[in-house]
Amino acid sequence: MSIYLRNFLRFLALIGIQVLLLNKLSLRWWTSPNGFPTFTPFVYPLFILLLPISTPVWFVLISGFGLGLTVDMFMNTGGIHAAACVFMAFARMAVLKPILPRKIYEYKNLSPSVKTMNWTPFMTYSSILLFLHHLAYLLLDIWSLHAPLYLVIKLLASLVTSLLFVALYSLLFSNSINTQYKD
Amino acid sequence: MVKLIQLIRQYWNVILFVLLELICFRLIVKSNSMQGSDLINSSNALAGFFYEKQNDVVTYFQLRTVNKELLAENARLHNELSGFQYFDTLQNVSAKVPLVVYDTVKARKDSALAVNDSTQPAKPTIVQELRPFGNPKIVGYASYTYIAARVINNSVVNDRNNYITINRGAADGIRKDMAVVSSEGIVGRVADVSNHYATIISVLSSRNISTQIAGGNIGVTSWSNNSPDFVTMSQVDIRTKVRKGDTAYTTSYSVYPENVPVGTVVAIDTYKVNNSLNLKLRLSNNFRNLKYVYVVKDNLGTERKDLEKAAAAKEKAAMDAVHKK
Repeated sequence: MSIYLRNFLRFLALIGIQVLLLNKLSLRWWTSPNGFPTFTPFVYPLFILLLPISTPVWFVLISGFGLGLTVDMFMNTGGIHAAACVFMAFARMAVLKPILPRKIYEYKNLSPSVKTMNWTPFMTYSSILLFLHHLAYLLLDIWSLHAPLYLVIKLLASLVTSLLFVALYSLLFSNSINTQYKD
Repeated sequence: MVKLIQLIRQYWNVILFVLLELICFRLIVKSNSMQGSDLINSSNALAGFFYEKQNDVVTYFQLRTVNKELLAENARLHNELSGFQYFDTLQNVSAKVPLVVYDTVKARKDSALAVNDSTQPAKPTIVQELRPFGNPKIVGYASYTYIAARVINNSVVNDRNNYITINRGAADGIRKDMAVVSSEGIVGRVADVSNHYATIISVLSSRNISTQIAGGNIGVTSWSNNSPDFVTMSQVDIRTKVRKGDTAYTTSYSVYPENVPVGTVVAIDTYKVNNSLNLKLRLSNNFRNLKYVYVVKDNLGTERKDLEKAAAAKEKAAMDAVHKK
Protein backbone atom coordinates (compact mmCIF):
# COMPACT_ATOMS: atom_id res chain seq x y z
CA MET A 1 0.00 0.00 0.00
CA SER A 2 1.36 3.39 -0.88
CA ILE A 3 2.19 5.74 1.94
CA TYR A 4 -0.42 8.30 0.82
CA LEU A 5 -3.22 5.76 0.75
CA ARG A 6 -2.08 4.38 4.10
CA ASN A 7 -2.25 7.80 5.74
CA PHE A 8 -5.56 8.64 4.11
CA LEU A 9 -7.09 5.40 5.38
CA ARG A 10 -5.69 6.13 8.81
CA PHE A 11 -7.35 9.56 8.68
CA LEU A 12 -10.72 7.99 7.94
CA ALA A 13 -10.28 5.24 10.53
CA LEU A 14 -9.25 7.64 13.29
CA ILE A 15 -12.11 10.05 12.55
CA GLY A 16 -14.48 7.08 12.56
CA ILE A 17 -13.19 5.76 15.88
CA GLN A 18 -13.27 9.22 17.44
CA VAL A 19 -16.66 10.34 16.19
CA LEU A 20 -18.71 7.16 16.18
CA LEU A 21 -17.16 5.42 19.18
CA LEU A 22 -15.26 7.61 21.63
CA ASN A 23 -17.52 10.67 21.43
CA LYS A 24 -20.37 8.52 22.68
CA LEU A 25 -18.49 7.87 25.91
CA SER A 26 -18.52 10.46 28.62
CA LEU A 27 -16.04 9.22 31.15
CA ARG A 28 -15.21 10.32 34.64
CA TRP A 29 -12.77 8.67 37.00
CA TRP A 30 -15.02 8.71 40.02
CA THR A 31 -18.24 10.33 41.09
CA SER A 32 -18.06 13.06 43.66
CA PRO A 33 -20.70 15.44 44.98
CA ASN A 34 -19.04 18.47 43.42
CA GLY A 35 -18.83 16.75 40.08
CA PHE A 36 -15.54 15.37 38.87
CA PRO A 37 -15.21 16.69 35.31
CA THR A 38 -16.56 14.45 32.58
CA PHE A 39 -14.41 14.09 29.49
CA THR A 40 -13.99 12.15 26.27
CA PRO A 41 -10.60 10.71 25.31
CA PHE A 42 -9.21 11.98 21.99
CA VAL A 43 -7.34 9.61 19.68
CA TYR A 44 -7.69 11.48 16.40
CA PRO A 45 -4.45 13.53 17.03
CA LEU A 46 -2.67 10.22 16.38
CA PHE A 47 -3.01 11.04 12.69
CA ILE A 48 -0.62 13.98 13.12
CA LEU A 49 1.61 11.99 15.45
CA LEU A 50 1.97 9.17 12.93
CA LEU A 51 2.57 11.22 9.76
CA PRO A 52 5.92 10.25 8.20
CA ILE A 53 8.87 11.95 9.87
CA SER A 54 10.06 13.71 6.74
CA THR A 55 6.65 15.28 5.96
CA PRO A 56 7.16 19.04 5.36
CA VAL A 57 5.85 21.25 8.15
CA TRP A 58 3.42 23.16 5.93
CA PHE A 59 1.71 19.90 4.99
CA VAL A 60 1.49 18.83 8.64
CA LEU A 61 -0.09 22.19 9.48
CA ILE A 62 -2.66 22.02 6.70
CA SER A 63 -3.58 18.39 7.36
CA GLY A 64 -3.92 19.23 11.06
CA PHE A 65 -6.27 22.05 10.14
CA GLY A 66 -8.34 19.75 7.93
CA LEU A 67 -8.43 17.05 10.60
CA GLY A 68 -9.52 19.51 13.26
CA LEU A 69 -12.22 21.02 11.06
CA THR A 70 -13.64 17.58 10.27
CA VAL A 71 -13.85 16.73 13.97
CA ASP A 72 -15.30 20.18 14.69
CA MET A 73 -18.02 19.56 12.15
CA PHE A 74 -19.05 16.38 13.92
CA MET A 75 -18.75 17.76 17.45
CA ASN A 76 -20.22 21.25 16.94
CA THR A 77 -17.23 22.95 18.53
CA GLY A 78 -16.78 25.78 16.01
CA GLY A 79 -13.04 25.72 15.38
CA ILE A 80 -11.63 24.69 18.75
CA HIS A 81 -10.33 21.30 17.64
CA ALA A 82 -8.83 22.84 14.50
CA ALA A 83 -6.98 25.48 16.55
CA ALA A 84 -5.63 22.84 18.96
CA CYS A 85 -4.57 20.58 16.07
CA VAL A 86 -2.75 23.36 14.22
CA PHE A 87 -0.96 24.29 17.44
CA MET A 88 0.06 20.69 17.99
CA ALA A 89 1.17 20.28 14.37
CA PHE A 90 3.33 23.38 14.69
CA ALA A 91 5.04 21.98 17.79
CA ARG A 92 5.59 18.54 16.27
CA MET A 93 8.98 19.14 14.65
CA ALA A 94 10.35 20.90 17.72
CA VAL A 95 9.53 17.85 19.82
CA LEU A 96 10.58 15.29 17.24
CA LYS A 97 14.05 16.74 16.56
CA PRO A 98 15.60 16.28 20.03
CA ILE A 99 14.01 12.85 20.53
CA LEU A 100 15.32 11.25 17.32
CA PRO A 101 18.97 10.17 17.32
CA ARG A 102 19.64 10.94 13.64
CA LYS A 103 18.98 13.88 11.29
CA ILE A 104 15.38 14.24 10.13
CA TYR A 105 16.12 13.73 6.39
CA GLU A 106 17.64 10.34 7.11
CA TYR A 107 14.23 8.91 7.95
CA LYS A 108 12.71 8.50 4.51
CA ASN A 109 9.02 7.51 4.56
CA LEU A 110 9.29 6.36 8.14
CA SER A 111 6.55 7.11 10.66
CA PRO A 112 7.24 7.80 14.31
CA SER A 113 5.96 4.71 16.07
CA VAL A 114 6.73 2.12 18.69
CA LYS A 115 8.63 0.01 16.16
CA THR A 116 10.87 2.78 14.88
CA MET A 117 11.43 4.66 18.12
CA ASN A 118 10.88 2.19 20.97
CA TRP A 119 8.31 2.64 23.70
CA THR A 120 9.84 5.33 25.88
CA PRO A 121 10.71 7.89 23.18
CA PHE A 122 7.41 7.32 21.40
CA MET A 123 5.30 7.75 24.52
CA THR A 124 7.32 10.82 25.51
CA TYR A 125 6.79 12.29 22.07
CA SER A 126 3.05 11.56 22.06
CA SER A 127 2.50 12.65 25.65
CA ILE A 128 4.15 16.05 25.06
CA LEU A 129 2.18 16.68 21.89
CA LEU A 130 -1.10 15.38 23.33
CA PHE A 131 -0.54 17.57 26.38
CA LEU A 132 -0.21 20.62 24.12
CA HIS A 133 -3.32 19.59 22.17
CA HIS A 134 -5.43 19.00 25.28
CA LEU A 135 -4.21 22.20 26.92
CA ALA A 136 -5.07 24.30 23.87
CA TYR A 137 -8.43 22.56 23.48
CA LEU A 138 -9.47 22.95 27.12
CA LEU A 139 -8.29 26.56 27.38
CA LEU A 140 -10.30 27.47 24.30
CA ASP A 141 -13.30 25.45 25.43
CA ILE A 142 -13.47 26.75 29.02
CA TRP A 143 -12.18 30.23 28.09
CA SER A 144 -11.51 31.34 31.64
CA LEU A 145 -9.00 30.76 34.42
CA HIS A 146 -11.54 31.09 37.23
CA ALA A 147 -11.16 27.44 38.21
CA PRO A 148 -7.53 26.46 37.55
CA LEU A 149 -7.82 23.27 39.59
CA TYR A 150 -10.77 22.10 37.52
CA LEU A 151 -8.78 22.75 34.37
CA VAL A 152 -5.75 20.84 35.68
CA ILE A 153 -7.84 17.87 36.82
CA LYS A 154 -9.74 17.68 33.56
CA LEU A 155 -6.52 18.04 31.58
CA LEU A 156 -4.73 15.27 33.49
CA ALA A 157 -7.67 12.91 33.46
CA SER A 158 -8.33 13.24 29.73
CA LEU A 159 -4.61 13.23 28.88
CA VAL A 160 -3.92 9.98 30.74
CA THR A 161 -6.99 8.33 29.24
CA SER A 162 -6.06 9.51 25.73
CA LEU A 163 -2.52 8.18 26.21
CA LEU A 164 -3.96 4.81 27.18
CA PHE A 165 -5.88 4.77 23.92
CA VAL A 166 -2.77 5.83 21.99
CA ALA A 167 -0.80 2.97 23.54
CA LEU A 168 -3.66 0.60 22.74
CA TYR A 169 -3.76 1.77 19.13
CA SER A 170 -0.03 1.36 18.68
CA LEU A 171 -0.14 -2.11 20.22
CA LEU A 172 -2.93 -3.13 17.87
CA PHE A 173 -1.60 -1.65 14.64
CA SER A 174 2.17 -1.31 15.02
CA ASN A 175 2.85 -4.62 13.30
CA SER A 176 1.06 -3.81 10.09
CA ILE A 177 2.06 -0.16 9.91
CA ASN A 178 5.79 -0.46 9.72
CA THR A 179 6.74 -3.83 8.28
CA GLN A 180 7.31 -2.39 4.81
CA TYR A 181 9.12 0.76 5.72
CA LYS A 182 11.86 -0.54 7.99
CA ASP A 183 15.30 0.47 6.85
CA MET B 1 12.11 42.77 -2.85
CA VAL B 2 14.34 39.70 -3.07
CA LYS B 3 15.02 40.06 0.60
CA LEU B 4 11.30 40.16 1.37
CA ILE B 5 10.70 37.00 -0.60
CA GLN B 6 13.61 35.35 1.18
CA LEU B 7 12.16 36.41 4.52
CA ILE B 8 8.76 35.00 3.62
CA ARG B 9 10.35 31.74 2.51
CA GLN B 10 12.36 31.53 5.70
CA TYR B 11 9.36 32.07 7.95
CA TRP B 12 6.81 30.42 5.69
CA ASN B 13 5.83 27.83 8.31
CA VAL B 14 5.30 30.42 11.02
CA ILE B 15 3.23 32.58 8.68
CA LEU B 16 1.09 29.60 7.71
CA PHE B 17 0.68 28.64 11.37
CA VAL B 18 -0.48 32.14 12.34
CA LEU B 19 -2.80 32.30 9.34
CA LEU B 20 -4.48 28.97 10.14
CA GLU B 21 -4.87 29.87 13.81
CA LEU B 22 -6.49 33.17 12.83
CA ILE B 23 -8.99 31.31 10.64
CA CYS B 24 -9.70 28.96 13.58
CA PHE B 25 -10.32 31.85 15.98
CA ARG B 26 -12.59 33.52 13.46
CA LEU B 27 -14.63 30.29 13.26
CA ILE B 28 -14.75 29.96 17.05
CA VAL B 29 -15.93 33.53 17.52
CA LYS B 30 -18.55 33.09 14.85
CA SER B 31 -19.87 29.87 16.37
CA ASN B 32 -20.16 31.51 19.79
CA SER B 33 -22.25 34.43 18.63
CA MET B 34 -25.94 34.18 19.44
CA GLN B 35 -26.82 33.66 15.80
CA GLY B 36 -24.84 30.41 15.77
CA SER B 37 -22.56 29.21 13.02
CA ASP B 38 -24.00 28.22 9.71
CA LEU B 39 -20.66 26.93 8.44
CA ILE B 40 -19.42 24.04 10.52
CA ASN B 41 -21.94 22.07 12.51
CA SER B 42 -23.32 18.59 12.54
CA SER B 43 -26.67 19.51 11.00
CA ASN B 44 -25.09 19.23 7.56
CA ALA B 45 -25.89 16.25 5.37
CA LEU B 46 -22.54 14.43 5.72
CA ALA B 47 -22.33 14.40 9.51
CA GLY B 48 -26.04 13.75 9.78
CA PHE B 49 -25.75 10.73 7.49
CA PHE B 50 -22.95 9.13 9.52
CA TYR B 51 -24.61 9.83 12.83
CA GLU B 52 -27.87 8.38 11.61
CA LYS B 53 -26.18 5.20 10.35
CA GLN B 54 -24.41 4.77 13.67
CA ASN B 55 -27.63 5.41 15.55
CA ASP B 56 -29.50 2.87 13.45
CA VAL B 57 -27.23 0.21 14.93
CA VAL B 58 -27.16 1.47 18.50
CA THR B 59 -30.87 2.14 18.75
CA TYR B 60 -31.77 -1.58 18.77
CA PHE B 61 -30.02 -2.03 22.09
CA GLN B 62 -32.14 0.68 23.63
CA LEU B 63 -35.57 -0.49 22.50
CA ARG B 64 -36.46 -2.00 25.85
CA THR B 65 -35.82 1.20 27.80
CA VAL B 66 -37.51 3.31 25.13
CA ASN B 67 -40.59 1.11 25.40
CA LYS B 68 -40.62 1.45 29.16
CA GLU B 69 -40.37 5.22 28.97
CA LEU B 70 -43.14 5.43 26.40
CA LEU B 71 -45.40 3.30 28.60
CA ALA B 72 -44.71 5.52 31.57
CA GLU B 73 -45.42 8.63 29.54
CA ASN B 74 -48.61 7.13 28.17
CA ALA B 75 -49.80 6.36 31.66
CA ARG B 76 -49.00 9.87 32.81
CA LEU B 77 -50.83 11.43 29.85
CA HIS B 78 -53.86 9.22 30.45
CA ASN B 79 -53.93 10.34 34.05
CA GLU B 80 -53.68 13.98 33.04
CA LEU B 81 -56.37 13.55 30.43
CA SER B 82 -58.75 11.97 32.90
CA GLY B 83 -58.65 15.18 34.89
CA PHE B 84 -60.08 17.13 31.96
CA GLN B 85 -62.91 14.74 31.13
CA TYR B 86 -65.75 16.81 32.57
CA PHE B 87 -64.47 20.39 32.41
CA ASP B 88 -64.24 22.81 29.53
CA THR B 89 -61.09 24.49 30.81
CA LEU B 90 -59.85 25.49 27.38
CA GLN B 91 -63.07 27.20 26.27
CA ASN B 92 -61.63 30.63 25.52
CA VAL B 93 -58.34 29.73 23.84
CA SER B 94 -58.36 30.52 20.14
CA ALA B 95 -56.06 29.01 17.51
CA LYS B 96 -56.24 26.55 14.66
CA VAL B 97 -56.17 22.93 15.86
CA PRO B 98 -59.46 21.86 17.45
CA LEU B 99 -59.40 19.87 20.69
CA VAL B 100 -62.26 17.41 20.87
CA VAL B 101 -63.68 15.89 24.03
CA TYR B 102 -66.58 13.52 24.36
CA ASP B 103 -69.38 14.69 26.55
CA THR B 104 -69.82 11.55 28.59
CA VAL B 105 -72.21 13.06 31.11
CA LYS B 106 -74.76 13.98 28.46
CA ALA B 107 -74.36 10.65 26.72
CA ARG B 108 -74.94 8.79 29.98
CA LYS B 109 -78.05 10.85 30.64
CA ASP B 110 -79.33 10.02 27.17
CA SER B 111 -78.72 6.34 27.64
CA ALA B 112 -80.32 6.48 31.08
CA LEU B 113 -83.40 8.10 29.55
CA ALA B 114 -83.41 5.40 26.90
CA VAL B 115 -83.31 2.75 29.61
CA ASN B 116 -86.22 4.38 31.40
CA ASP B 117 -88.22 4.61 28.21
CA SER B 118 -87.98 0.97 27.28
CA THR B 119 -88.40 -1.95 29.54
CA GLN B 120 -85.59 -3.80 27.78
CA PRO B 121 -82.18 -3.67 29.51
CA ALA B 122 -79.95 -1.29 27.50
CA LYS B 123 -77.18 -3.13 25.70
CA PRO B 124 -74.81 -1.02 23.59
CA THR B 125 -74.31 -2.34 20.06
CA ILE B 126 -70.82 -3.14 18.76
CA VAL B 127 -70.72 0.07 16.72
CA GLN B 128 -71.42 2.11 19.81
CA GLU B 129 -68.70 0.32 21.73
CA LEU B 130 -66.12 0.99 19.04
CA ARG B 131 -66.94 4.69 18.97
CA PRO B 132 -65.52 6.84 21.76
CA PHE B 133 -68.12 7.09 24.45
CA GLY B 134 -70.22 10.28 24.41
CA ASN B 135 -70.94 13.14 22.03
CA PRO B 136 -67.98 14.90 20.38
CA LYS B 137 -67.62 18.59 21.17
CA ILE B 138 -64.89 21.10 20.35
CA VAL B 139 -63.76 22.71 23.58
CA GLY B 140 -60.77 24.74 22.47
CA TYR B 141 -57.73 24.94 20.27
CA ALA B 142 -54.22 23.67 20.88
CA SER B 143 -51.53 26.30 20.64
CA TYR B 144 -48.65 23.81 20.44
CA THR B 145 -47.86 21.01 18.00
CA TYR B 146 -45.34 18.34 18.96
CA ILE B 147 -43.00 16.84 16.35
CA ALA B 148 -41.30 13.63 17.48
CA ALA B 149 -37.63 13.16 16.52
CA ARG B 150 -34.84 10.70 17.20
CA VAL B 151 -31.59 11.85 18.79
CA ILE B 152 -28.72 10.81 16.53
CA ASN B 153 -25.87 12.59 18.29
CA ASN B 154 -25.51 14.01 21.75
CA SER B 155 -22.70 15.51 23.82
CA VAL B 156 -22.46 16.32 27.52
CA VAL B 157 -18.73 16.84 28.07
CA ASN B 158 -18.15 20.25 26.50
CA ASP B 159 -17.61 23.03 29.00
CA ARG B 160 -19.57 25.82 27.38
CA ASN B 161 -22.11 24.62 24.85
CA ASN B 162 -23.42 21.13 24.28
CA TYR B 163 -25.27 20.22 21.11
CA ILE B 164 -27.70 17.49 20.13
CA THR B 165 -28.39 16.39 16.54
CA ILE B 166 -31.81 15.02 15.58
CA ASN B 167 -33.06 13.35 12.42
CA ARG B 168 -35.79 15.88 11.59
CA GLY B 169 -35.23 19.12 9.69
CA ALA B 170 -36.83 21.94 7.76
CA ALA B 171 -38.70 19.44 5.57
CA ASP B 172 -40.55 18.24 8.68
CA GLY B 173 -41.52 21.75 9.74
CA ILE B 174 -38.69 22.42 12.15
CA ARG B 175 -37.48 26.02 12.33
CA LYS B 176 -34.74 27.80 14.24
CA ASP B 177 -35.40 28.69 17.91
CA MET B 178 -38.18 26.16 18.47
CA ALA B 179 -38.26 24.62 21.94
CA VAL B 180 -37.35 20.96 22.40
CA VAL B 181 -38.66 18.81 25.23
CA SER B 182 -38.69 15.12 26.03
CA SER B 183 -41.09 12.98 28.01
CA GLU B 184 -39.17 13.81 31.18
CA GLY B 185 -38.45 17.52 30.82
CA ILE B 186 -36.82 20.28 28.85
CA VAL B 187 -34.01 19.51 26.40
CA GLY B 188 -33.06 22.75 24.64
CA ARG B 189 -33.83 24.85 21.60
CA VAL B 190 -33.14 24.43 17.90
CA ALA B 191 -29.89 26.11 16.84
CA ASP B 192 -29.41 25.18 13.19
CA VAL B 193 -31.63 23.46 10.65
CA SER B 194 -30.78 21.71 7.41
CA ASN B 195 -33.25 19.96 5.16
CA HIS B 196 -33.39 16.67 7.06
CA TYR B 197 -31.41 17.30 10.24
CA ALA B 198 -31.31 19.88 13.01
CA THR B 199 -28.91 20.69 15.82
CA ILE B 200 -30.23 21.59 19.25
CA ILE B 201 -28.32 23.68 21.75
CA SER B 202 -29.10 21.78 24.94
CA VAL B 203 -29.84 23.05 28.44
CA LEU B 204 -26.19 22.22 29.22
CA SER B 205 -24.99 25.48 27.71
CA SER B 206 -24.60 29.14 28.44
CA ARG B 207 -28.22 30.11 27.78
CA ASN B 208 -30.58 31.11 30.60
CA ILE B 209 -34.05 29.67 31.08
CA SER B 210 -36.93 31.28 32.94
CA THR B 211 -38.22 28.79 35.52
CA GLN B 212 -40.73 28.68 38.36
CA ILE B 213 -41.25 26.51 41.40
CA ALA B 214 -44.50 25.60 43.10
CA GLY B 215 -46.38 28.75 44.04
CA GLY B 216 -45.28 30.55 40.92
CA ASN B 217 -42.01 31.99 42.22
CA ILE B 218 -39.85 32.77 39.25
CA GLY B 219 -36.09 32.45 38.84
CA VAL B 220 -33.42 32.19 36.21
CA THR B 221 -31.87 28.80 35.56
CA SER B 222 -28.42 28.40 34.08
CA TRP B 223 -25.99 25.54 33.74
CA SER B 224 -23.28 25.41 36.40
CA ASN B 225 -20.76 24.17 33.84
CA ASN B 226 -19.28 21.06 35.34
CA SER B 227 -21.87 18.35 35.60
CA PRO B 228 -24.46 17.14 33.11
CA ASP B 229 -26.81 16.36 36.02
CA PHE B 230 -27.26 19.72 37.72
CA VAL B 231 -28.32 23.27 36.91
CA THR B 232 -28.57 26.32 39.19
CA MET B 233 -31.73 28.36 39.60
CA SER B 234 -30.87 31.84 40.86
CA GLN B 235 -32.65 35.12 41.64
CA VAL B 236 -35.44 33.38 43.56
CA ASP B 237 -37.21 35.59 46.13
CA ILE B 238 -35.76 34.96 49.60
CA ARG B 239 -39.23 34.66 51.16
CA THR B 240 -40.09 31.69 48.99
CA LYS B 241 -40.77 28.49 50.87
CA VAL B 242 -38.84 25.76 49.13
CA ARG B 243 -38.12 22.24 50.25
CA LYS B 244 -35.68 19.73 48.88
CA GLY B 245 -37.48 17.57 46.37
CA ASP B 246 -39.70 20.35 44.99
CA THR B 247 -39.92 20.44 41.22
CA ALA B 248 -39.08 23.44 39.03
CA TYR B 249 -41.05 24.05 35.84
CA THR B 250 -40.66 26.34 32.85
CA THR B 251 -42.67 29.56 32.65
CA SER B 252 -44.51 30.88 29.64
CA TYR B 253 -42.04 33.79 29.37
CA SER B 254 -39.54 31.92 27.23
CA VAL B 255 -39.82 29.81 24.09
CA TYR B 256 -40.77 26.75 26.14
CA PRO B 257 -44.38 25.80 26.77
CA GLU B 258 -45.45 26.40 30.35
CA ASN B 259 -45.06 23.78 33.11
CA VAL B 260 -42.53 21.51 31.47
CA PRO B 261 -40.43 19.99 34.29
CA VAL B 262 -36.85 21.26 34.58
CA GLY B 263 -35.57 19.47 37.66
CA THR B 264 -35.94 18.83 41.37
CA VAL B 265 -34.36 20.89 44.13
CA VAL B 266 -31.41 19.17 45.81
CA ALA B 267 -29.72 22.07 47.63
CA ILE B 268 -30.76 25.55 48.78
CA ASP B 269 -28.30 28.42 49.30
CA THR B 270 -29.27 31.78 50.75
CA TYR B 271 -27.60 34.93 49.44
CA LYS B 272 -28.27 37.74 51.88
CA VAL B 273 -26.32 40.21 49.73
CA ASN B 274 -29.01 40.45 47.10
CA ASN B 275 -31.85 38.87 49.06
CA SER B 276 -32.16 35.81 46.93
CA LEU B 277 -32.04 32.05 47.00
CA ASN B 278 -29.88 29.89 44.80
CA LEU B 279 -31.39 26.48 44.18
CA LYS B 280 -29.38 23.58 42.87
CA LEU B 281 -31.60 21.48 40.63
CA ARG B 282 -31.08 17.91 39.53
CA LEU B 283 -32.22 17.86 35.90
CA SER B 284 -35.25 15.67 35.34
CA ASN B 285 -33.77 14.57 32.01
CA ASN B 286 -30.81 12.24 31.85
CA PHE B 287 -28.78 14.01 29.19
CA ARG B 288 -26.30 11.14 28.87
CA ASN B 289 -29.09 8.93 27.67
CA LEU B 290 -31.44 10.92 25.41
CA LYS B 291 -33.17 8.88 22.74
CA TYR B 292 -36.35 10.56 21.54
CA VAL B 293 -37.35 14.21 21.84
CA TYR B 294 -40.29 16.37 20.80
CA VAL B 295 -39.78 19.63 18.95
CA VAL B 296 -42.51 22.04 20.03
CA LYS B 297 -44.08 24.18 17.34
CA ASP B 298 -45.77 27.20 18.90
CA ASN B 299 -48.80 27.91 16.70
CA LEU B 300 -49.24 31.35 18.22
CA GLY B 301 -45.52 32.01 18.44
CA THR B 302 -45.15 34.35 15.48
CA GLU B 303 -48.18 36.37 16.50
CA ARG B 304 -46.78 36.77 20.02
CA LYS B 305 -43.30 37.59 18.73
CA ASP B 306 -44.64 40.22 16.33
CA LEU B 307 -46.69 41.82 19.08
CA GLU B 308 -43.72 41.92 21.46
CA LYS B 309 -41.49 43.30 18.74
CA ALA B 310 -44.02 46.02 17.90
CA ALA B 311 -44.29 46.96 21.59
CA ALA B 312 -40.49 47.13 21.89
CA ALA B 313 -40.26 49.27 18.73
CA LYS B 314 -42.92 51.65 20.07
CA GLU B 315 -41.04 51.94 23.37
CA LYS B 316 -37.79 52.61 21.54
CA ALA B 317 -39.42 55.30 19.36
CA ALA B 318 -40.82 56.97 22.48
CA MET B 319 -37.39 56.91 24.15
CA ASP B 320 -35.78 58.37 21.04
CA ALA B 321 -38.33 61.16 20.99
CA VAL B 322 -37.55 61.95 24.66
CA HIS B 323 -33.82 61.99 23.95
CA LYS B 324 -34.28 64.34 20.97
CA LYS B 325 -36.04 66.85 23.19
